[in-house]
Amino acid sequence: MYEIKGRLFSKINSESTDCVMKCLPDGSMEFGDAFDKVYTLADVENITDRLGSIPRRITFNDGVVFETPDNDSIDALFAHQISWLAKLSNSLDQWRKPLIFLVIATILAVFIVFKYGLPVGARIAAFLTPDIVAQTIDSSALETIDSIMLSQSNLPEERQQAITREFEDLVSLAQRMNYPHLDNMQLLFRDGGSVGANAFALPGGTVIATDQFIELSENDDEIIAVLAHEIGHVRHQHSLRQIYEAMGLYAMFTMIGGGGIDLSQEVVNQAAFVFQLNASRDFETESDEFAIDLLKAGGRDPSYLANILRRLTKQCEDCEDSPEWLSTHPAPDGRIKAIIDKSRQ
Amino acid sequence: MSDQPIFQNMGTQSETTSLEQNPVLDVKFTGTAKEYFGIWIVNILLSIITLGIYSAWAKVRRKRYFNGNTWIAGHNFEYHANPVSILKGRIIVFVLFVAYNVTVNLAPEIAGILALLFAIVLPWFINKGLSFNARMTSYRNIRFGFEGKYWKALLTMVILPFVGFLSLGLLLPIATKQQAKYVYSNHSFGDAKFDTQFSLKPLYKALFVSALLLIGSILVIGGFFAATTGILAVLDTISEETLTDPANIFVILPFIVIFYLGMLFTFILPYIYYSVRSFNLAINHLTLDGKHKFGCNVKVLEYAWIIISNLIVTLLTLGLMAPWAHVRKMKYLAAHFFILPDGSLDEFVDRERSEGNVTSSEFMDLEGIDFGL
Repeated sequence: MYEIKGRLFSKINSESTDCVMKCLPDGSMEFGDAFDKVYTLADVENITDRLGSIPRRITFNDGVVFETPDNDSIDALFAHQISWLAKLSNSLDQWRKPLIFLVIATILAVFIVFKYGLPVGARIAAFLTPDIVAQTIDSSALETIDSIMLSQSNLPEERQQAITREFEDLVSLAQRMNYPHLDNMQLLFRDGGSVGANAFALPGGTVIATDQFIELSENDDEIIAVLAHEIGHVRHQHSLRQIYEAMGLYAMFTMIGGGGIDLSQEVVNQAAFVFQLNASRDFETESDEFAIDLLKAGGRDPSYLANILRRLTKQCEDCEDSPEWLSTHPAPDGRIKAIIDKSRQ
Repeated sequence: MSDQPIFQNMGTQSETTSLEQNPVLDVKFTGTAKEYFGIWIVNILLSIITLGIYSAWAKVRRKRYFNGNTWIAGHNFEYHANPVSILKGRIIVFVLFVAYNVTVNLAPEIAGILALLFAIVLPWFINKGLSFNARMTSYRNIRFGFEGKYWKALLTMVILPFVGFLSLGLLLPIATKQQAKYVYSNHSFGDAKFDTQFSLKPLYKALFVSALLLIGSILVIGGFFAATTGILAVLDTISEETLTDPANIFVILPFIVIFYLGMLFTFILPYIYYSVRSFNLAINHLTLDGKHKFGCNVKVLEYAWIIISNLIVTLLTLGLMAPWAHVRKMKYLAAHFFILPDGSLDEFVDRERSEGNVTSSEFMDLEGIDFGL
């Protein structure tokens, strides 16, 4: 016979009685003078999971509740009534000695998810996204940027057509090389206004080049090199992946952080932004590599990409509101050097 | 039968029987940072490994830990939610979140309509969340309850705060008062109802002081930033190449962090002042069953210090001290909360059980979906 000290809620009100629950070898439970009913294991409806040192509650099927802080006795006597998940969580909770391993494992898991899990998930989501969705994003995004940042191009019609022909040659070359996601490519020219010299790709395949960028370039080879880089963004679905990564990151942070972190939650969500910057750096490198391969296949010299990037970076030292552009299109020495190295291979 | 109290360190049963001689009941929080750290880290690890699914179980464990370690007169609180109901709520929220993001990307022009739609369903979500949370919480084997009307929630949770915002805060106390009345007075403990009644005057006083604090902190923190522009000027001289090199992110990051913290600290003291004052006010006028009274004397500066230092310590330790911070806050709040009972606390009757529902868990499962995080 086993005795567990605790208290019993046997009425419909908030009154409780201190008592001792006697557990008999046949599995039945009785409460001596405190309560005259005898329960069997089949009458046990629920036993709360062990958690820290808070009291455990055994609820019987007639609503009577026995409460006890004697966690060890409950675990020993009701081993079969406790779920495997509760046992696992609890044994990990109590794993005091090598707690540091748990901490390291958690940090490692966080790192792996952010470094690999999220990008892979975003890649799959982007791959599964129907083309029509990306194209709709293009048209509505274009509408928005046109209304707030860009205006009609002042570039002569013939010049636009000449560049567009080069762009289409580049796209059909890429298509012949069997690169995916390039069915709806189009090139548009705009006056960059405050955006200045820039070229960027929208998820569905719309590439926008600003007049200032065309003016900044010294020859067509440089323009072609940058356009090849932008095609790379579309081929790798970078914009879509970025949208999914940002969403996933936000969902993760909110889910894990839920409560317990208070104010820090805000700051943690800001950190998500810094992670995003790193992601877009990887994307730039990936696009650079694509551009180099494509240009080489077309018999061109990829080192023009390095030239124009260097000039773009220089030019931006003069413009005032550049930080955002810079952070997403960084052209540090490292990146330019990598392009030159790969061009020579 | 034992002579010693079974539930040690947590106040004894005898307190409840000698209420007349000892009319103030303290709230004790017995959780420790060390113990909670183990639970918290396991929660995070398993949540990540299961791609977020375990986070519903994690929430139950977190809430059970904090409820279970909160004691009044020798009895603790308990949280009964079934993780699966929480998981369902989270999946719904997640789907809505994805749908919202996709829609906004596809058609930015309807973002306004979505915001309106959100405002319309928000009161329903709030009511569901409050009633789920109340039903899943018990004390002395008696469940709490919450019953709120959609229109009341719409008025107090959406319209009045919006009006308060439009009036540049001048009507904020009205919103605060109506919200407190809505939330507290619709709660019940078993068959007994909570209620709170207080006047607007102290809220306007709190708002006034809070506005003065805001002006003060804008002056102080603005001055600090003006003084540090020297440092920013130094940063300007660094070439763009250095700035944009990813390797230098750790040089630039502190500036970003300092800027955010500056923004945060400008608003945090006025905000804490107003919310602590209104919380104290509502609790000090709270009654249960028209006779049991409650009290709360949280001090603004002490509480602000706890919140701000918690934030800094949590950030500096990359989140590893978050359990310590949370336990510290709960300990403080419990120590400044008390109950003035009028008679025995043994006589509350559980509504479900008095209606013949021996266990209403099946019903709760159907009814209960938790949308909160």
